[in-house]
Order: sequence, then structure tokens, then C-alpha cells
Amino acid sequence: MSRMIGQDKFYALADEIISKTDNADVEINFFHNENALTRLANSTIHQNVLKDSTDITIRVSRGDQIGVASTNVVTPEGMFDCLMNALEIMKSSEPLEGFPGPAEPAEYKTNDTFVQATADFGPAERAKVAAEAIARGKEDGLILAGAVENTSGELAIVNSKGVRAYQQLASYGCNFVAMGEEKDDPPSGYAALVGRDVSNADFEGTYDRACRKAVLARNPVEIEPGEYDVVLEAAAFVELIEWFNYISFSGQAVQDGRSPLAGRFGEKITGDMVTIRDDAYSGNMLGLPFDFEGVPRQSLTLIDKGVANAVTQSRFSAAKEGVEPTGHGFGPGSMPSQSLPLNIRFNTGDHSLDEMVKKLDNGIQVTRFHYVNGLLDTRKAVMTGMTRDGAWIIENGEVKHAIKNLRFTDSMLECWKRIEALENVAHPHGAWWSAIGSYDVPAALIRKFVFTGKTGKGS
Amino acid sequence: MEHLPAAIDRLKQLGCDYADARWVERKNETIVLRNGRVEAVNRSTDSGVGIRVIADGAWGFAGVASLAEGDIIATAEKALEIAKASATTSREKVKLGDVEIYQDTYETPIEKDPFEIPLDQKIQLLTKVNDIISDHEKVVATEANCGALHVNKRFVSTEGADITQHLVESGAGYQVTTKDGDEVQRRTYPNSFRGDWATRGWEHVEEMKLLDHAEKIRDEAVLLLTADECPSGKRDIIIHGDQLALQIHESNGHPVELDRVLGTEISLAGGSFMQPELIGNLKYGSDVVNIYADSISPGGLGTFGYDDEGVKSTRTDIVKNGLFVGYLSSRECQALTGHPANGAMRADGWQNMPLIRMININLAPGDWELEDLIADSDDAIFMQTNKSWSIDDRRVNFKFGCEIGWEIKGGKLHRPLKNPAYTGITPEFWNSCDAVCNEKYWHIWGIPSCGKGEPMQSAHVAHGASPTRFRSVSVGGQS
Repeated sequence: MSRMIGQDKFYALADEIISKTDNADVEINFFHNENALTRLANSTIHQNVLKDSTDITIRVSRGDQIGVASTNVVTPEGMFDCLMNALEIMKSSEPLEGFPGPAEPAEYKTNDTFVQATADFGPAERAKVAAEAIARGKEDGLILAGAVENTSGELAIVNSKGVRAYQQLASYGCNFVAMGEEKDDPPSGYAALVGRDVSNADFEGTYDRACRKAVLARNPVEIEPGEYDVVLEAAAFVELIEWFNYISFSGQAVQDGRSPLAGRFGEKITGDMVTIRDDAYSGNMLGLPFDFEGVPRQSLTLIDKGVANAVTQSRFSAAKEGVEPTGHGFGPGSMPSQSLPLNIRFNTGDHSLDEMVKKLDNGIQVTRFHYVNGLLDTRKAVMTGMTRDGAWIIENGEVKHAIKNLRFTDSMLECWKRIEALENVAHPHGAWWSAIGSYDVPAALIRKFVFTGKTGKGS
Repeated sequence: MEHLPAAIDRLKQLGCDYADARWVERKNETIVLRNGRVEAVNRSTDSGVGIRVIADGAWGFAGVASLAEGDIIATAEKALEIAKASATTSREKVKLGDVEIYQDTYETPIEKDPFEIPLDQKIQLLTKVNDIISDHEKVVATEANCGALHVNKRFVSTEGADITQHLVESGAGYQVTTKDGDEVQRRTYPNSFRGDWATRGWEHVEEMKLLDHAEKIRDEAVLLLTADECPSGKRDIIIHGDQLALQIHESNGHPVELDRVLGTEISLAGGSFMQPELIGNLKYGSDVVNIYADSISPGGLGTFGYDDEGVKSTRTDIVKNGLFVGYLSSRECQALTGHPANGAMRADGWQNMPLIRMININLAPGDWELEDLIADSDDAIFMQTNKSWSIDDRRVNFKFGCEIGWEIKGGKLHRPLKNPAYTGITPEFWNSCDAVCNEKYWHIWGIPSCGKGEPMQSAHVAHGASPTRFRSVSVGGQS
């Protein structure tokens, strides 16, 4: 049972702290989070954990002089100590030229991001899902691993200018890897799910899909790297998009010149099929209607049919650019220049997954990637990573056989010019901020995807 | 933290197979200058209690941010309830290997408490660094940081353990980004991703000599803008210790975590090719490859007195003369496999359950002088400082990108190369190793951000390494 602290208590605590100082602006962020996770491996639960934490961050500023301190002691005394710490730091610190101070009060849209049933999902219920997944695996002689998780929490942003923003959040997630017990090249299949309302969660469909993939992944053959037409399922495609977001869409990355969008706004940088938005108000999982500075969260079209269009701005980075903040700042807990989209929506197409697979004469279907890294050359968005948990050669639109893992290395700006089709539905995916935001991404058919290496036995 | 024994007593009263309670208090300081401006001077404190229980042969864990006795006891009861829920799917009952039980204290030996160094002194140092690294028209961004961590811990168990520890960490680093047209390059010092960290006091930062290296690092970042692209093909490579640290981390440290080997990370981080039957049989590397794990190397970021299940710090051979001989283990893995717990169970704060984590995983120094190694290389590339990393889910196929490469021709550094990268298969790669530089070049690189587990935990680990040569490796930016 989740125990919420509540808007009234947060606001009262904040007001008390703000009243303690009259010679500095004060911003206070509360983030209370209750995270429960049941983890299984080798068809048994091996971790079952619950953590309940509240982080309070206070930023004080006088003009462009700032100080930041944080604590997890949610009492007037603990917060007062934190305030004093922040004030002491402010006195010793150097001015941050261009710091705009706290946000002014604003109206926020309403997003319902809390579901009581999700917050109340307990250890016995998570264990039941795990047990059912394990039983499903046994039907095909498969070992199950994965996790079933639910998170609930609340976020409050308060400042001495009068900002009052509060949001309750709940989300659930699960992921399953089904594996064969073969000694050499054990087959594996993967499926995952995230959402806000656990009462609608299709756990059964998710672990069943992982099991069916594992069965199809038996007896993989080794193929040589090279250029292949591919269908990247959404779980694979999202890993490329997640890295692209990380290296590209913050105002700071543009100001530093490392974003592929830097200096190219209005130019076509990738293919027509690529439209990427950040939108907290639509999609499978609604997001926060404000950022961690208390600025209303805008919806942005970041790339529009391949054309570089927009990036996010915190209040500080926006002031430096002479533009308006977009409502994506990370607030007192991070550096003032930091911002990032948290609700990425990749445009959908008009094909089903099966229809895209049928368009492959001689290609590869990929379930997901492992350990993608996008820092090789960020201007070109060069990324590398390995396939895992199921990849298949497709011949004449039919699954021919499973293959061993391959490494890809390619510039996403170039690769995405070769997107030929997108799935007609976007699937929700979590990230490390999944309690707050999410990715909605379809599967993609990409021509001449560049595989540069293959896995070895290792022994 | 005086209420831990009460929680343990309550769990004994309710009935459990085993329980331990950990109080952890962390005090953290971070200072960041971006483009010469102090963007962050943050201090945080965080404390709470995590309770781990085995009941009916299964694990349960709960953590709470409160230090009140009532909250801690309620959390203990919650952990017990969770353990009983876990037991409903248990195939085998959890057992813990026998270890010596300690009542002890440990403190990181330091010369200068980093929290005692005035803020303005730290900011002044970073400002001076910035003045140097920003002093060129091609420089578009700079960042300099330093930080400090105090950790206070107490561990109490139903077996009678009672251990308190006070750990101290310090670290610093900087990076400079240059741009010319569409070309963007970066150099960092002393290592990428927040620099270099150690379980030492402020003396660690002083010994980095941040200012002395600033001009060279800036000039290299500028030089890279006009450098040739790293060629593709097979080349001998010499890898600097700062990059080799991450190579050890990904291709040796993670695959010898025995919980991972036994499948407990399979759904997220993956498995390992270093299976138990390969102990004593796998020629992991050439004869000059000696890798060991320890939590006792002075200053190592993985150095402490006891791990988070009360096992005393120790040293374990992982690869001996190229042969795979050992694992990072835990009490549970000891009971399952016989590989003794070796002080590698660590949790990220009070909030998380301990997992097997790297400690200091070190490649023992060899006997080469770096100058001799370069002179002995006819056609090679010297690669330095990590830029990107990727490895498959069994830790076999890897690809790393570095910040800078130097082509070696006829035994001499010939020209700088941009975007150097190399790829390989773990045992093939380590078996191609034919030369390791001596202790003069050896350093324990502290990495304060190793991710593992669900919920994700971040561990502070370290890797001792010196420049090392590998023969005939696939190199090139997009190989």
C-alpha cells in the first residue's frame, strides 16, 4: 500500500522553509518515490525489493549567486538544515552569469498520471505474475527471467515566486526473457510492457510472446556481417531513438556543438519518414505537465519529416539563447543548463509488423539490441550495438531460421534515410525516467542496415 | 545507528532463516564549472536503513529513509512479508556459505578531508583549469568538476556481525570540446566521464596536477580537428591505462560476477561466457595477462574494510598467467558453487539489496618501459581515453571508441588520428596481448558509475592498468 505524503504537507513544509529567509529566492523540489520490484531468474524469484525514498532539493539564489543542497530528511528540521547548507554554499560560490532565477507562477494543463490500483499492486500479486510466467515457460521447456515492477510517487515544485506544482505518478512495468536450456547457443526471447494502469496490463500476452520467440530462436546459424534489409521491432528501434534523444535534443548539446542538430535547424538531416515529437499530453503514457523548474511543459516537434526543427531549453539555456524555456529543465537537482525530452513520440506508419516482415525478400528481423552506444561520433549520430534475444533471417517474407548475434555500426542520420516503412502502432517503452515519461515507438523497416561484426563463442 | 539490533531482534522473534540490517549515510559534494561558470555547487545528505531477510528459503528486502525505531521495525516486517511472497516460486531454498563473523570498524585512511577544503579553493582550482583549456578560438565548451563523498555505515546480522565503516572518496576531472565547421572533438583529463576517483582525501586531487596537463589536453582537442581519420584494418594497438581500465571492466570484471554467470542478470545485463566448467581450463589471455580482484589496494575506489554482507576485504586471482582461475563471489554463490565469498557484495546506498559488484579489478603490471614498447612497434596505433563502449550480452564481442589515437611508424609516434576505435572477441583479444608496461606507468583508475541490476544500482569500482600492447586487432571508426 502506497503511503502518499500529499500536496498539502509538501506545500506547508515548503512555505515554512521559504519563510525562514527573506534575502534569497528559494526553489524546493520534492520527489517521493515508492518502488517495488520482483525479479526472477532461473525460473525462481531471486530478488524482491521495496524502497521508499523522498528526495528534497533546495536551490537558493540572490541575483546570479546560487547554492544547492539536498536531503532525504522530510522534517522541518531536516529541511531547515538543508536550507542553511544551500545558503552557505551560495555565499561561497561564484556568480552564475545569466542565471534567470526561479520561474514565475503559471497555469498547467491537467494530466492524470496516477492509478491507485498500480500503487497498491503488492508483493503477492507480483509473485503471482512471476509464477504464471514460470509455468508458461515450462510448457516449452524454457527458463524464465525478468522483472515485475510497480512504482508510485509524487512530485512537488514550489518556489518563493509563488510556483506551486504537484503531480502524483504511478506506473508498472515488466520484462521477460525466456531461455532454452541448451548448453551451446541457448535460444532466448524477450518481451516487455510498461503502463500506468496495472489492471489493464497484459502480463500473460507479454510472457507468452517472450516464450514464443525463444522457441523460434532455437538452432541459430551464423551469418556474415554486411548490409541487410531489416525489420527492427519497436524494442530494438527504441534503443536507437533513446540514444539519439540523449545526444541530440537538449539545448545544451546544441550550444556545445555536439548535437547532430547544431547549426542545421531548418535543414534536412535525415529521412522523410522521421518525425519525432516530445509530447507529455498524448501517447500511451501521459507525462508531467510541468518541468522541474515549474515551467509548463510544451509539446515540441523536434524533427519534422527529416528536418531539424527544435530542441528543449531550460530557463538558463533559454536565457543564453534569447528564447523561451520549453518546460524541460531538470531544475535544482541538476545543472541549470540541463534539459531533455522525457516523452518522445516517433511517428507511426501504415503497416502492421507482419506486413513489414513480408516485404523482406532477404533480410533480418531483430527483437532488440544490447548495449547500444551513441558516442562514437555524435555529429553523425554513429551508433554501435549487438542484437540479442532473437534475430531471424527472413526469406521471401517468411521466417527462415534464427541467427546468432550481430554487431551493427552506422550513422543514424544516414540509416534513417533508408526507412521504408513504419508500423501503424506505437508501443510504449520505459527508460530510467519511466515513472515520469516514456517513449512511444513503432517497428521500422530499414533498407541496407549495416552489420559490422558477429559474436564469437568466447571459449 | 542504534536501532538496527532492535530490527534484527524483531525478525528473530517473528522467525526467519537469516537477516541483516544496514544503515547507510552518504554526504556528497559536487562542483561543476561549465564554460567557466559555476553551474553546480551541490551538497546532499542521504540516510536510511535497508533490511534483507531470508524466510522460508527466499529473499526479501525493504528499505526506508527513516531512522525512527518504529519505522525500521515496520520495514523489517515488510521485508519478511516480501520474503514469504518470494518463497511461493522458489525452486531451491537460499543458503549462505559460512564465513567468519566480525565485530569491527574500518576507516579510509586519508591525509586531507575533502570536505575540509574550502569551497572557494576548489572553485579557484577549477577556474584556473578553465582559463587554460578555454584559451583557444576553436574551443566551444569546457567543463571542470570535482567532488567528494563521505559514507558512514553500520551492518548488523542475526549471526552476530556488527561492523561500522567510514569511507571517503575524492575525485576530479575536466573536458574540452573543440569545433571547426562540422567537426567536433573532445579531450578529457585525467579520464573521461567525471575524471578519476579514489578512496583518498583531497591529496588525490592535488596529485592529479590538473593545471599541469590542461594546455596539452586543450591542444590535443584542437589538433584532433585536423587529424586524419583512424584507418580501418588489422593493426597492433597499444592501449593507454585509462582506456584499458574500461576494457578490463567490460570484458573481465562483469563476466566474472558469479551471480551473473549463474543467470541472475540474464534479463537485463545479460550472462557470461566465463562459465564454471572453464575455471582452470580457459586460456583467457596470453601468459603475460594476470588479473586479480581486491578491495585492499590503497586508494582504489573499490577499497573498503567489509562488503555489504559483512565479508572482510581480500584479494582473489581472476586470471593467472593467462588462465582463468577465479570469480567475484557472494555467500549465496559460495553455497551454490563452492567459490568463496570474497568481499564483492555491495549495495548502492541503503535503498538497494547488495549484488556482486566489481571491486578493484586490476591487470598486474608487466616489465616494459613505454618508450621501449613504442620503439618495438613498427606499425601500430596508440589509443587513449574512452569515448564509447559496447559489448554483447555474454561479454564476448566488444567495440570501444577512444578520444585520440597516435599512429606509430617504425617505432615512433607518427601522427594523431581522430575517432580511433577497435573491436574484438574477448579471449582472442586478451590472447593477443604480448606486452604490459611496468608499475611506473600503472595506476588504479576509479570509475564512480558502474551500472547493474534492477532497480539500477551504481557502484564505485576501480581498475589498475598500465599501457599494454595487443597484436593484430581490428581497428577503424566504423569497423
